[in-house]
Amino acid sequence: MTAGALGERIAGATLIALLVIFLIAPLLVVVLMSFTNQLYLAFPPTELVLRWYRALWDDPRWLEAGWNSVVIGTLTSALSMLLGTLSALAVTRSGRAWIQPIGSLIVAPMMLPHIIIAIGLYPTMLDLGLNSTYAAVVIGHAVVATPLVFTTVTAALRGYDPALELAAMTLGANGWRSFRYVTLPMIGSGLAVGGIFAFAVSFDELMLALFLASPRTETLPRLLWEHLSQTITPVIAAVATMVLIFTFLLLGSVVLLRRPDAEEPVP
Amino acid sequence: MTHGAAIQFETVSKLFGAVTALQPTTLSIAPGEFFALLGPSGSGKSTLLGTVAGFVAPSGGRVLMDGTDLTSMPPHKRNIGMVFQNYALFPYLTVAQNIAFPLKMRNLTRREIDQRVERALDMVRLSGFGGRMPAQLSGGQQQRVALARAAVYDPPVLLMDEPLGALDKNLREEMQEELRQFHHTVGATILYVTHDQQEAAAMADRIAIMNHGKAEQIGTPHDVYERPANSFVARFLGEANMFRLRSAVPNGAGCLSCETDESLTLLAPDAVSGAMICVRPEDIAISAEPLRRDNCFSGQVADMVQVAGTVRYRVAVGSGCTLVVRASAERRTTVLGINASVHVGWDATDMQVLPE
Repeated sequence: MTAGALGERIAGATLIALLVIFLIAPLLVVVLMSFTNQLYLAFPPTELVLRWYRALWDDPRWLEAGWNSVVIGTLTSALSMLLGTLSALAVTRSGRAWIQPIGSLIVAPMMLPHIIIAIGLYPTMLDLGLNSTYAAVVIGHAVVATPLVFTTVTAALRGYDPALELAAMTLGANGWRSFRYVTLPMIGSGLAVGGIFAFAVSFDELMLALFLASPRTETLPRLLWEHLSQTITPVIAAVATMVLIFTFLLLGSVVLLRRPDAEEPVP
Repeated sequence: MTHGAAIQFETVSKLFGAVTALQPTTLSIAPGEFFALLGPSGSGKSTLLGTVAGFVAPSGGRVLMDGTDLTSMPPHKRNIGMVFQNYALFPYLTVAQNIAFPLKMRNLTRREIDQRVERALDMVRLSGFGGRMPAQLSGGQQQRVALARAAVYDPPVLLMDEPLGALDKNLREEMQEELRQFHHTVGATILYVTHDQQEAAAMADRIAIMNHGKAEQIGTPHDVYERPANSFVARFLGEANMFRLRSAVPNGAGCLSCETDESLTLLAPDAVSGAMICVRPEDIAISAEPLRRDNCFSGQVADMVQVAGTVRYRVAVGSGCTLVVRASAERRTTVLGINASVHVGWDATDMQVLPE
């Protein structure tokens, strides 16, 4: 190895290390702060204790909000998977020219500021009498989560020969059965990844929850926000750490799903 | 073994917006026939096939199978088998599960499915491959699985859309043999789409030559080659030397004395009047010595290629006119080299006068 190549490798490794520190450091600070024995957010902690996790466990509001977030995330994920798959099928499999622009329209909420969507949805939910139900938050979250499912499922649909479905039909499968036995297995992992993304979006979302959730349907990010604006105690760091762990578990499952199949064709 | 069904196209047409994909086409295919739709891409052959499969709703006309109108029947109720160019095997199912798919859709019992799958695998010489995944098979093997899957429920009609298109040349010729054998075994009517004239000629009982959404000619491979209906057919099937006529005068002895655009004077049969004259490369004699034919020319060999038993020459005659000549090359044949001075010639009866 020449000196130049060695230098390049060291420079590359340093860059990666800096990048990792940049990305991970804030997370590490939060995690460490959650183990503090102080009464306020202090860094670095002088002693590592579990007292704030106990406080978290003892306050039923956190558990309730956690439960709300899981319920809303699950329902959001289900609704987004349904709508995202249907719209992806329409855009990729219909030959009609006018349907293509619809695809861009579906993805638009991913770009739009959530606050604008929230301002639009709030009076609508009031009118519909939904503003203190799970439905309000789930619908709001589905608006921003459906594009993710739409994107992953569209990619999956574009990734295989549509002749597979035609073949299923000539072999005697009606519309539903060719979807059930051909389309679904082919888009399965794309759909699952999209569903997890949708859950994660809902689980992390604050702005829509501020507008659309009521005290009864309060989500974890919203409760965190309220705590932050009132009393800053290290219990926030403990909650954030729990959320982090949960999010990493979701990420891990995406990585597992995305792993290339063992039965890929031998080139 | 089933017997094949008859297919009738009654003035079937298809428009895609303002584009005519298929002009009104009427065509009868006999039960058990191996019928090829041959044409360049965009000629309407796949559209015509699609109307039988049910993927293409005709803009006009009807498609009948043994007298039953298929036109408004959804694809899954037609009981027709289809083999696709890229096989369209389900990649997440084993070979056996792929073949079992149509039987499962027909709600057969587990036992019957197993027996039929076993028989189908046997028929395409893939016994023992049932547990493999499609991706673990070669292209030819995958195509045989696709055949087994399309035939396992004994459909009276099998549609094939360029089924050998993805295979390399040697394998393609081998599979042609196999397909003929397969047709013999299953007895179904086969409607076969291809752009390869050699393939169509090697397998089909009859061929329809398609061009611009229209069947230009229908007949046996021999018929359409020997008696092309027009210059498109003549050019599309094998090679043809084509001359455009400038003038034609009867010579009183049952022949036409013609002058072509290339300023060649030719003696042609006094057949139907037309604008083009066609002579096949293998009908032209070539020699270093002068020849005695109705039409003789001297020229120079511009190019020469030797392939499998024949020599293909390009001979420059006159000003700017090059003829393609094919001579059989036996071991003792003297092959004429490039730039050799040669004589070429053919009789009036070797030529055909064709419409444009």
